Amino acid sequence: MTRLWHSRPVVFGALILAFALVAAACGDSTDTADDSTTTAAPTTEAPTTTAAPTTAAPTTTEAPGKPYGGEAIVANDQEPATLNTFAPGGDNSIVSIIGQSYFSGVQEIDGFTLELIPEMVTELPTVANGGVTVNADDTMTVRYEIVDEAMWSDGEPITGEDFQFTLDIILNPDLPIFRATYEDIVDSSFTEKTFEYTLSAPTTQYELLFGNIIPKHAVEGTDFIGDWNDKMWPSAGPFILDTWQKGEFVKVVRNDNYWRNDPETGQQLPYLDSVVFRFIPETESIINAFRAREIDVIQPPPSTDTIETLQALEPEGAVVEVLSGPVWEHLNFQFGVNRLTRNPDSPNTSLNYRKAVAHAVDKTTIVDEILAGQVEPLDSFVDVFAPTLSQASWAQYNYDPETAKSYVEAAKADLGVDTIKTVFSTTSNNDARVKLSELFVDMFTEAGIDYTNSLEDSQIFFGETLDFGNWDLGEWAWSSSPGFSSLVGLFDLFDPELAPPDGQNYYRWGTPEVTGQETEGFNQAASDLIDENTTRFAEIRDQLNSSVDNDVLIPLIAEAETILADQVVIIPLYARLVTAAVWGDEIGGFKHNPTQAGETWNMEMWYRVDM
Amino acid sequence: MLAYIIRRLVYGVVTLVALSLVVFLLIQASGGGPLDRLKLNPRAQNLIAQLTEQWGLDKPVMQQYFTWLKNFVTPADVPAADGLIVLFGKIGLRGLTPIVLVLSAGAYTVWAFLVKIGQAWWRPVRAFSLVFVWLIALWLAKSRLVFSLTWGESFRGDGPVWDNIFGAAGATFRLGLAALVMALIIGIPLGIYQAIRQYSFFDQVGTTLSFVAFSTPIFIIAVGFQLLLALYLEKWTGVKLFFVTGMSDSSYGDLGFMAQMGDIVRHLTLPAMSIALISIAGYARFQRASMLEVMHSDYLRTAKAKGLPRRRVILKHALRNALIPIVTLVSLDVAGIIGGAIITESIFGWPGVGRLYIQAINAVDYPTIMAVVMSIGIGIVMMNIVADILYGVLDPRVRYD
Amino acid sequence: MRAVDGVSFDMMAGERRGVVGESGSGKSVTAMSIMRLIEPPAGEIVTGTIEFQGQNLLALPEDDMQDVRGGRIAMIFQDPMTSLNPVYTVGDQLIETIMLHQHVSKHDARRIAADALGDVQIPEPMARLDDYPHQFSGGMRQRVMIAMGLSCNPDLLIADEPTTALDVTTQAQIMDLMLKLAEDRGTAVMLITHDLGVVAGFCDTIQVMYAGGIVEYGNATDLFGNPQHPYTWGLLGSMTRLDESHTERLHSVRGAPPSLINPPLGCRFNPRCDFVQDICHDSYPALRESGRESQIAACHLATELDLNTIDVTGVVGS
Repeated sequence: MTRLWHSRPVVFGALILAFALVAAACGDSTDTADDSTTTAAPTTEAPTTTAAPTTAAPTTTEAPGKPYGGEAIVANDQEPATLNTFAPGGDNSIVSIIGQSYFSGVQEIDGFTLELIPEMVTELPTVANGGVTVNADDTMTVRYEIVDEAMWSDGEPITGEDFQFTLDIILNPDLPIFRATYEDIVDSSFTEKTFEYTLSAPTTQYELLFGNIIPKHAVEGTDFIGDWNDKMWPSAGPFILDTWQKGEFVKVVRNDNYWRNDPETGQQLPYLDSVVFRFIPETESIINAFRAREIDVIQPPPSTDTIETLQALEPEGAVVEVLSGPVWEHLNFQFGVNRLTRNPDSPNTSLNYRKAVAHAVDKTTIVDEILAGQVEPLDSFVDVFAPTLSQASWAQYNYDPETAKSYVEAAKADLGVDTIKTVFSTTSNNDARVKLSELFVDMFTEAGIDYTNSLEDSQIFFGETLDFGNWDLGEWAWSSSPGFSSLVGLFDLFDPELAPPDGQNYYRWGTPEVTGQETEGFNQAASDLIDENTTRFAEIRDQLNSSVDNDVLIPLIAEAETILADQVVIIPLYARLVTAAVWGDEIGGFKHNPTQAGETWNMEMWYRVDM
Repeated sequence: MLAYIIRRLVYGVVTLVALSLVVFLLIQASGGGPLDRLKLNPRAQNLIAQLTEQWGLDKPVMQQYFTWLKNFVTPADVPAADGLIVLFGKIGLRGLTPIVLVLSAGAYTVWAFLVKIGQAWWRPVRAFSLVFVWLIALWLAKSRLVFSLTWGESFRGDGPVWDNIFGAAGATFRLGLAALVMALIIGIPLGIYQAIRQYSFFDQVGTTLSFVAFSTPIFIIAVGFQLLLALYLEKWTGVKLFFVTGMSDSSYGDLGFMAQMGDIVRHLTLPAMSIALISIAGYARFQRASMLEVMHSDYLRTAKAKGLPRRRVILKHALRNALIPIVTLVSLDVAGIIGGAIITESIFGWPGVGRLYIQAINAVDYPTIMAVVMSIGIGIVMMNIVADILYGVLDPRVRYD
Repeated sequence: MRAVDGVSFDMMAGERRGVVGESGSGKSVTAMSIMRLIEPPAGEIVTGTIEFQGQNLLALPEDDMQDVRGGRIAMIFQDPMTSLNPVYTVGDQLIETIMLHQHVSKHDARRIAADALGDVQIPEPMARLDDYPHQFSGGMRQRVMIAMGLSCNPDLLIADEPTTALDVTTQAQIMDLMLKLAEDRGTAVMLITHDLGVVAGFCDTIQVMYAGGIVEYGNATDLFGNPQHPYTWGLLGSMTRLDESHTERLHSVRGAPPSLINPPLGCRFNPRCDFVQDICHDSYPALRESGRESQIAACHLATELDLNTIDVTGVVGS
C-alpha cells in the first residue's frame, strides 16, 4: 500500500519517455541495431505467416523447436483502471505491461541491448536511412514503412490509414488524451503500407510517437474513451484480450494471426496459449505466491530482503535478475523564494555551499546501506542509459568532509552568516528515502552544517511542495529511457524558461516571475539565481529541442551536463534497482527489460519448458 | 414497528450526510489531489487543465462537496432493457449465486410465513428474511431494475463508481459471509463449551488463545496463514490445499460444478480465516461470559428442577438467552469484518471493495473513496436496524414504539 | 464450607412441612440437595442419603433423577420474576415439562397445561399459554410456577420462599391456593420460608434451621405454643401478630448468623443466645426430646427453660 508513490510520479514521467529513442541521428546506435538479429525479420517472414496458425503448427515443427501451448502467470501489484492506454488512467505502467500482449506500434525497447528496435515498421526512420528529412522550411518529415505481413488479429491488414486514424484520435480536442508533440504535426499522408507526417520543427521527440496504433475498422464510430475500457480492439500483438476479471486478473490468449516468427527457429509466435496477469497489491503476497509457484513471473520492488528471499529460491529453479533501472534519485536545491518558508536561512544561492553538500554526501555509503552495494553510485544521470555520452561530470565532487568544511567556510563568507543551516525534505513513506535522511544527519554534521530533516507524505510532497517550491534541500527521482529524446527531455527539467506550471523546472533555477496562474501556488517571484549559466543553459536547451543532428546534439548535451554539474544544480545519487524473477524450470525465453518496457516486452518468445 | 423503522431510517440518513461531509473534508484536508500523479509528467499539462475543469477541482471545497452529493444521489440514465440484460444475461455460477440466494431466501420466507405463522420458533427466520429483503434490494439496485445511480465517475478512469462498487461487492460479500459464518460456527460453540466447562484445561487454553488471537494484527495473521497453510503445508505434504492469493483460477469458467466449488473453497479459506480469527476470539470470549451469566440465572435452575436433560437445559433454555447479547455484537462486528476485509483483500489479492478502496485512496479518487465509505455507512446503519429488529425477535420483552 | 451439616428428617406422604430459618441457615441448600441441583463448582453433596419412596436419590443415575425432578418432586422458587425463561412462552415452558414427564402428545400436553393454568385460577388459560412471562404480573407468574410444579402431580412439592417477592395481599392468595391444591391432591409440601406467619396457617409440622443444622422440630401447634429452642423463641418474638396490640416493642434475635467457614465452638447459637451457659461453649447439643411428644430441640437447656414465662420485653436490648 505504501509503495504506490515510490513508482507513481516517476513511472509517470517515465511512461511518456517510455518509447524513447535510441538516437535518430546517432550513426553508432543505428549500426548496432542493424547488426542485431532483430532486423532479420524480412528473411524469415515467408515460410510460416501464411500457414494456418492453429494447433497444427506444433506438430509440424522440427525437433529443435520450442513447444507450443501452456500458460504463464504474471503478478503485478497494480490493476489497470482501463485497458485503453490513450485514456486517462491508461498511462499507468501496468497498462503498458499488459498492453505488450495486444498493442503494437512503431518501436519497442530491446531488453538485451536496451536500444530501440522497430516493431510494426521495417526499420526505424533516421536521418541516415532517409526516413527522417529536415526540410528547407525547417520542418521535419518522418516516414514509416509498415511491415507487409502486419495484420490485426481479425485478419485485416495494418495500413497507413490506421496510422492516420490514430493521429486523428489523439488530436481530437474532445478527448482527454496526451497530445504533446503530436500537436506539432502540421501535415500527414498515407498509402496502403506507408505513413508520413511533418513536424513544425526538427526534434528528437518524433521517436516517441506512434508507439501504439489503433485499428480504424474496429474503432471508427465508437465512443473511444467509453467503449474501450474493459474490452480491447483487435490485437496487433501476439495475444488477444480474453477476460478481465475485475480485481483479480486479466487473461490474454494466443493471437493466431500474429505475423512475427522466432528469428532462431522460424516458428510462428507466440508459443504460449495464454498469459494471465494477476493483481496482488501486497509485495509480501506476490513473493509468497511466487514461492508457492502460483505465479511464474514477478517484478517486485527490489528491496534487499526481497532479493535475498528470491535468490534463495534459485536452487529450486528460480531465475532472478537484478538490474540497474531507469529511475534515478537526485539531491536538489530550491532557488525560488518559497524555500525561505522551509528554511529562512537557506544558503542555496551560494555555489560554495552547494559544492560543500556535493563533497559532504558519501554516495558509496548510501548505495551500500540502501541497495546493499548492488550498484555503483551515479556520477551523472546521463550514465543511466547513455554511458557513452556521459561526461561523468559529478565525479569531481568526491566524498571528502575536509573539502566540504572548507566550502562551508567559504559559503559563510559568501552569505555573511555564522552558521550554515540546511533543511532536508523528501517523502516520508518511502523507506529508502527515510534511510537516506538518517544517513544525511551524520554526513552534514561532519561537514559543519546545521542539518534538520523535514520529511512529509508523498501526497503532500509531490502535490504541494513541488508546486509551491517550498523546500530547501530536496530529494526525489526522475526516470530515463534509452536514447536522445529521453536525454533532451531530462535537460528540459532544468530549462530556466520553463517554470511550473508550464514546465517542470521545480527547482526554479533561473526561472522568471510567474503570475496570473489559476492555482495560487505557482505565482512566484523570479528565481533568486539567474546568471550567465542559466542564460546559457536556456540557449542550449532550445538548440537541443530543434535539432536531430548528432553532430549538433552531442556537444550540446556534454555542455549542458557540465553546466549542471559545475553549478551543482542537482546531485545525482544512484539509479534504483529493478528485479524480476521467473521459474526457469517452467518458463523459457524470459528476459527482464529494465526499462519501462517491463518484464513482458518479449512475451511472445516465452514458452513452457516443462511441456 | 414500522414507525420505529422509519424513524431509525431518518436518523440514519442524517448520520450519513454528516459522515459524508466529515469524510469529504478529511480527504480534502489530507493533501494531494487526483491529478498530482500527472504533475511530474511534462506532457500532461493539457490533460491536467482539461480534467481540472471537468471535475471542478478548482472550485471551493463546499461547492465540490455539493457537486459530489448531487452526483451521488442523481439517478443514472439507463434504459430498463439494460437492467434486464444484467438480470438474465449472465448465467454461470457467479451470476447464479445471487439468483439462487434470493430465490431460496424468498421461498424460505414465504414458507415460514404461511406454514408456521404465529409460532415463536419461526420468528428468527422471519427476521432473517428481512436481511434477505435487503439483499434483494441490493441486488435489484445492482441490476438497475428498480433504480440506478452512478455515484459519480471514478477519477481513476474506470467508469461509474456504482458499477465498480457493486462489481466488487460480491467478492467482499462472499469473503465477509464466509468469515462471519466461520466466526459464528466456531466462536459461539467455543464460548459455550468454555462456559460449560468453566475453569477446565480446555477453558484456560481457549481463553489464552482468544487473547492472543485478539491482539495479533490481521496482517501478521494473514501472512502467517499464507506461509503456514499454503506454502509450507504444500512443502511438507506435497498436497496443495489452499492458494496464497486470488479468488479463482483463471480457468474457473471452464470447470465443472464440483471443481468450481472446490476452487472457491481453496481460494476462500485462508482469507476468510484471517478475518474470522479475531471475530472467533471475540465471539468466544463474549459468548462465554454471556453463557456463564445465564447459567447462573434462576430460570435455568427452574429448567433443571423441571427434570430437563442437561443438554436441553443448555441448548434450549440457556443458549437462546445467551445469544441475545451476541446479536448486537455480531451486527456491530460487520463493520469490523469489512475493516478486516480492507487489509485482508489486499494481502490475498481478493477482488473486493477493500481493494477498490485502497486503490482509490492511492489515486486520490474522491468519488470512489466517498462511495465506499458511504456504502459501508449505509450497511452499518442497516445492520443496526436489523440488529434491533432481531433483538426484538429473540427477546420478546423488547418492543418498539 | 459446610452449608448444611448433619441435617436429618423424615416427611410423611401428604405432610405439609414448614422449614424456617434466617437467610443462610441452610434451608434452600437442603431443598436443592433433595433435588440434587447442587453442582460443582458451586458445591457438592459430600455424603448422606436422601430416601424418597424407598429410593436413595443420591445413588440414582442422572437419567432416573431427571424423572424424579419435576415429575415426582417439583420445586418452585422464590422470585417468580426471574424463574421463568423470558424468551419462551408460558405455554411452551409448561408443555415442555408435561411432555417430558407424562409422555403425552403435544396436543394433549397443551390441554393439560391449560387445565393447570385454570387450576391456579388464571383466567382464559388457553389463550394465555401463548403469552410470554413478562406479560404476567408477579403473582400471576408465581401461579404459573405453581401450575408448572403441580402439572405432573408430584408427590412432593418443594416451595422455596414462594411468596417472599410478592406483596402481602398476593402472598395470602397464593398461600391459600397452594393449600387448597395440596389438600385436594394430597401432595406433600415442603415450604421453605423465613416468615413464620406464612407457615402458621399452612403447615402441619415445622422444622427450624440455624447455621446449617436443624435446631427444633415439632408439629405446628406445639412449636408455636411452646418453643423449646431459644432461637425459635426469638423468631416467634420477632413475628407481628395482628391479634396483639403494638404497645410493646417487638424483640428480635440479636446479632448476625455465624460464619459457616469458621463456626463457633459448641452450640452454634451461643454467641446470640440470651441463656448461654458454660456447657453451650463446650459441646454441640444433639436434638433431644423435649417435654412434649414429637417436639425435639437441639439445646442443652431445652427441658430446663420455660420460655413462655420469660418476660419478653425484659430481654430486648440486653
